[in-house]
Amino acid sequence: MNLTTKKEGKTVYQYVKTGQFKTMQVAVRFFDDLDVETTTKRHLALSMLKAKTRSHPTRRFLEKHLESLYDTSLSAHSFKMGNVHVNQFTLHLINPFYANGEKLLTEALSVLREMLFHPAFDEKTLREEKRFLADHFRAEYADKDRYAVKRYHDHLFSDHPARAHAMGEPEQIEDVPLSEIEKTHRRMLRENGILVGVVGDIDVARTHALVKEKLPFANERVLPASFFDKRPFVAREEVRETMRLQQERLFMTLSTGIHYGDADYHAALVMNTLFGEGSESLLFRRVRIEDSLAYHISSRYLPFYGLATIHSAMKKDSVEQAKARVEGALSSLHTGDFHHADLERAKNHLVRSVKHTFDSPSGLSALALRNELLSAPLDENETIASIRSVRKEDIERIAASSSFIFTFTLGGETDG
Amino acid sequence: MDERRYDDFREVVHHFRLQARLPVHIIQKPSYSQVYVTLSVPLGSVHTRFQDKDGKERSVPPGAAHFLEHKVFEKGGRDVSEDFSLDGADINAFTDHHRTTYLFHATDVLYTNVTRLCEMFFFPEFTPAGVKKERNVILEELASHKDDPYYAQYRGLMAAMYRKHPLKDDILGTEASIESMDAKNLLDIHKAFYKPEQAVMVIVGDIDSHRLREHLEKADVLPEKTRARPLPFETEEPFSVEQEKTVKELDIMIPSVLFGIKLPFSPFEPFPKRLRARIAYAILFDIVFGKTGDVHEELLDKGVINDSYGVDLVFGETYAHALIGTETEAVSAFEERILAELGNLGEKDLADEDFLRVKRQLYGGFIQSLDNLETLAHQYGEYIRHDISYYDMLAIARSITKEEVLDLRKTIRKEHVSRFVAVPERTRR
Repeated sequence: MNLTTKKEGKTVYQYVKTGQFKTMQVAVRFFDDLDVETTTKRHLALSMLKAKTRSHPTRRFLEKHLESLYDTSLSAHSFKMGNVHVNQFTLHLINPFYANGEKLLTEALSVLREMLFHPAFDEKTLREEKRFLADHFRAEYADKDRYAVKRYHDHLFSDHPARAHAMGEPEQIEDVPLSEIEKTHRRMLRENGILVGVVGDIDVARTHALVKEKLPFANERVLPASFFDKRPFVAREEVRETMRLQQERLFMTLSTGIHYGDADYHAALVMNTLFGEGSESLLFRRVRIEDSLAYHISSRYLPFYGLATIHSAMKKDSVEQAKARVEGALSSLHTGDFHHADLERAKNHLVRSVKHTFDSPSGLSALALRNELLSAPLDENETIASIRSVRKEDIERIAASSSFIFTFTLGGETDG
Repeated sequence: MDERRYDDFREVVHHFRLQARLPVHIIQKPSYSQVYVTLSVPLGSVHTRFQDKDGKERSVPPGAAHFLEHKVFEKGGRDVSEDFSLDGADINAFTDHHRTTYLFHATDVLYTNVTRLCEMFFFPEFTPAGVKKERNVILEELASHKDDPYYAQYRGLMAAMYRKHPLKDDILGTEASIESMDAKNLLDIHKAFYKPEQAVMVIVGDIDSHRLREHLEKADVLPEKTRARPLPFETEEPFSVEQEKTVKELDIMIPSVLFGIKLPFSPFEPFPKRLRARIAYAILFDIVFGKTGDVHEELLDKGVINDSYGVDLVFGETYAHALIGTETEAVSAFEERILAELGNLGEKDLADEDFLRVKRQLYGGFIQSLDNLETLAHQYGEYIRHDISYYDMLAIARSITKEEVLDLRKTIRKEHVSRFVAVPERTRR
């Protein structure tokens, strides 16, 4: 990857030069501590910034302007990276080559500048954004999978900083005054770590000059140096909540104790893939293909917390059988009761996903970000070699020291 | 090997017919590490009849296309996807109303995997025991939809809009039809529909087209010709809807309204004409009901809609409709405003500025689609089955005049419109 990193004051700028794509991406990310007291304000401020600007005084006006820039999209979202809260603006636009040389990047960056530096904060927009956010949380109930995941996370992280939701807390929405939005905005510009990432067919020097001109950040805080604290998760009682569902949702939590950057990180990745990621995993084969208990079952590794979470949905009377199969699959990993071919399939799956990252502007931008923040390698061969070097004994060892710490089920009510 | 260059977009497409039967299209994407391969066949949930090898007319049970898609992966009790995976490929499949598509993406061992895909696709070896077992998996898939209120709303709207068209039924079929699937019948359906002459393979990535062709020609992966064949889709679906309004209590917290508007559309028109109408309708709905239109702004200002509001145009080969929906606590206000706008559509003028802006938007969206290899493979496959290149779509879009779009306004009538209002169950209010 052809990455150039520049630092101006406390702001970090990353430029990935590539002729592979017909589009380009600009991402501006604001980093602050993940705190349940501030996520709601931060997310509302982000939404207010994106809604309109002094030069684009209505949502409609702004939307029209972006459409006229050949369907340029400008999105904003909040997410968590371990114990850090990130607010991100993303511009996605076509390469100016395909727009008859129009100064698309300049114009798109001008919109972003207006959003960040000349916002149009007012009570009416705040009321709208509060309504949107409150409705978003209320609508989660309708999506039973999303709702189940949320309830599971609420229990799993009940005494952990990660209990804060990236988009804030429903009960705090109404109490956020306009003055707090203005204050949060000032804090984003002054007291957040800021990283700008640009990916596309660019001249790095000219693009950097343009980005600096359009986005003159003067933040006083560097990017966070730490994203997690490795606090152990202790085993707790199973929680069962009832809801009228056709399929009971089953969540199981496996504590591996292995975090991002640990010596065993890649082995834990491979173990999770072998265990439950994709249709070749032990869980999919045993629970879906052999026992026909569920349409889907999967496991996801959370390296900032040292956990893997298993998720499935099935008939209520199949849940105990499925749990036993999940526990049996972990025992198989521990005792080495799996084939060399299973291990190779898991590695292949991960290698594909590494290579996939290199095939999109957003993938490259995320990779560059992880390189800056977490020292992740930029060279795909280095990552692939780490995956390929994982041995059967590594899997057995990690499985032996992993244990299930929490189970959550949702469902069980029947019609009537 | 035929080569077509699209210099405006810096793209090259190769094409050949394997053994003069199976069309293969290769979109060259230098520098990409992934290669996407799709192989699709025109068998979807709308297909209801076929002629077997003895010339006898037979029916396709509801859900058979989807069930077959699951079972094509079985080779005598084994799951072939394991072999793909061992050779570095991730394979999947899906069934929609008009086609079944198998796709894999890989970075290595491409030729072996393409051969394996053809063998799996054309020479199924599933067993009665495998079919019996799969019923439970598909019944669980069907059950998962029952927990989704928005899916219930969408299915309810389709049933209210369409009188005869199979679109009103679930792609997965019914519990009874899933329970009744048997291996022999599925194999007969396979023989009629999974024919090289009807299938299309699209490959997108950085590959050597000539070497791939040589490899496939040597591998001899096509089945013998057969008399079995699909029978044409026949439904006389009127443009008027079955039911104007449906109200149903669902397990939700915020009421949700979904409008469906049947667009006058004949599946028997030539594809270029249908494509033209499709783009022109998209322009019309975007300007009138999109996020830059009067309706959206007014409803937002009055607090009627939130950011869940959306407009979508859905064009299948045998149907076309627009969807407009939102979550709202002001159900009546939303219904009245959308109905009023649809009623006055014939009088609505379109500003030149809006028309030109939407055309630029279409162009930008097209260029963006070229960076997503999976989407590109699907889009190209959909167009090329009608002998039109996806890359020619833009020229058609550019040639559409404002007058053409204005002419469509009066084609939408009150009797084409149905709406499904989902309200929270009494205990949730």
